[in-house]
Amino acid sequence: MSSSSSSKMIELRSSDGETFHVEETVVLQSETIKQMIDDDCANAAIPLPNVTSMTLAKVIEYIKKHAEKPKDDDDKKVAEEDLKKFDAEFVKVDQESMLFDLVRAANYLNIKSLLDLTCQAVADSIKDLSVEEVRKKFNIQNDFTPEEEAKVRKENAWAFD
Amino acid sequence: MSSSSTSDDCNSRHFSWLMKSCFPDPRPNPITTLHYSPPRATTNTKTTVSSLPNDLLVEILSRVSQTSLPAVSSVCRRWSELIDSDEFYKLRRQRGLLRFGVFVVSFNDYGLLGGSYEVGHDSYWRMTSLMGNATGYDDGVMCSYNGLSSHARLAAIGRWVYIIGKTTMLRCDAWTGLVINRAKMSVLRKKFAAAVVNGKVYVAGGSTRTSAVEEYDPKRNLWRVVSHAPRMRYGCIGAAMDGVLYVIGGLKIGGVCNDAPSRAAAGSGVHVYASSMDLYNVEARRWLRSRSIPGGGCVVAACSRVGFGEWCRLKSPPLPTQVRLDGTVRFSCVGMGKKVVLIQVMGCIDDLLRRSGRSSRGVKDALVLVYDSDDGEWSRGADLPDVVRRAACVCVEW
Repeated sequence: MSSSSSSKMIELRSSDGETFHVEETVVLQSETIKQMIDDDCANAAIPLPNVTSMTLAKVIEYIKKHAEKPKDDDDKKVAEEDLKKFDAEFVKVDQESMLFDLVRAANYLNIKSLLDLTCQAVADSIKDLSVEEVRKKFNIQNDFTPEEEAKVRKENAWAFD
Repeated sequence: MSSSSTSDDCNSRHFSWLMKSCFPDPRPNPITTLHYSPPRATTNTKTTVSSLPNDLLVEILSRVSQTSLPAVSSVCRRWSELIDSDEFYKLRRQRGLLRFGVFVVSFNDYGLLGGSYEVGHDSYWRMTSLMGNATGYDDGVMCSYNGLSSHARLAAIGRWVYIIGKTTMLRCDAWTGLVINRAKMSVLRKKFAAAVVNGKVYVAGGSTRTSAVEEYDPKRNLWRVVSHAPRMRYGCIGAAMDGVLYVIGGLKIGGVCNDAPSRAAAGSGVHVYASSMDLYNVEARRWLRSRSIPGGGCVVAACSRVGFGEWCRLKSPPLPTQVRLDGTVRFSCVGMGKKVVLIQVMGCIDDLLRRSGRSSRGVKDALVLVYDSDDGEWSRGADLPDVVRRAACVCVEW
């Protein structure tokens, strides 16, 4: 039944078959999984065919941290600061592909704060880059015809900020 | 429920929901109909930005800082199309990343001059030559602005500012100042009304030959006649609110057409349309009952703003005392969110003061006054530089 104690464990299975045991209270941050639990669908391992074990481990690290409850008001401030620091460190991944995997996983699992965090991290990573730098960074082919290229080429005469 | 039950006996609804969250929405949405092939769910290849579905990519792009947008929009076709999509604007607006600014265009001997000013953010106008400085542009990008005159009207859709002249239309990118030619109106018009309703430009009036109202579809770059106005107005002003196009003021020109009211024809001369307006419901393609403007007088400028419902009298703008306004000073006004910005587009306050018997006080630049409808007060904005004369003005959300 869906009645749950805080210690109830939920089993998640990644696309490559690895299983993870996470407390229900933690995993409820995923709207997708919450919906399944609410509908009694989570009695066996929940298969997540779109999330690899590497990404899932990272996601669990994130939701575990964000599930921590501060004890009192003083603690709350410290915890907020701590969480900010954690978020900043969390998106500093070695491989860029991991960030995109996290974007996909956050979207798939419907964890809004993680989606916000990771999308913003990608957006920030292209701040102040030139067109060529962005293309190189993400390995994007320039598919404009020369005429179109001329039309879209931005001379940035305004320099709005 | 027994613990041995598997997730297989779950309601499939959730799985369809799961599928939806990771595959592009099958509904005919412009975002998802762009070139994009769905990613294979589990491959060993590394995830790249290009393998993200459009809804996630636009989620990322909509968070890019303002200064990086010009570069980001010219990375590749897909990005450029996503940035022009309605979804992009919607998300940006939701995140409070869109800003309102006044955009002015003026024509002088050197070409086209553009300026932008963000009320409450900028302390001066940012000016740029829109075409005079041709260096660096390829020939294909250079565009002709013959046929544009100081009577051109502006209409803004997102960051695109359409400069609509009698025989030419240009589109200016408010992010970059880049200008290209677009399709021109099929009717020759001068001093006409122009406004944007539901992402399309509407123009009316300004022609002695026809009362046709034209619609411009920016996606197809196409003008077409959608209706005929009940009155032929010249020197009218356009505004739009809640899907209704307002054709306001102006003089009566040409023959009486359609259902012009009899009292209008009763020899009251050219002033007959000065204090009335015609209302066109764009969606229903139907003209609403024309309305007179309370207080009468001659409409010199009009705009719409958020929350406009009934007529109300605004506090008079704080013009220098003892100035008698006459034909030599003209104002244009634009609605900007909950603010109204009044911009002096002709004349010189100093001259007025001198004529009113006072010595010059050094007000050479054009006055910019801002009315905030929240507190009902006027304040003074940054003066529009002297070089920008006879400017056409519009509010841009970018």
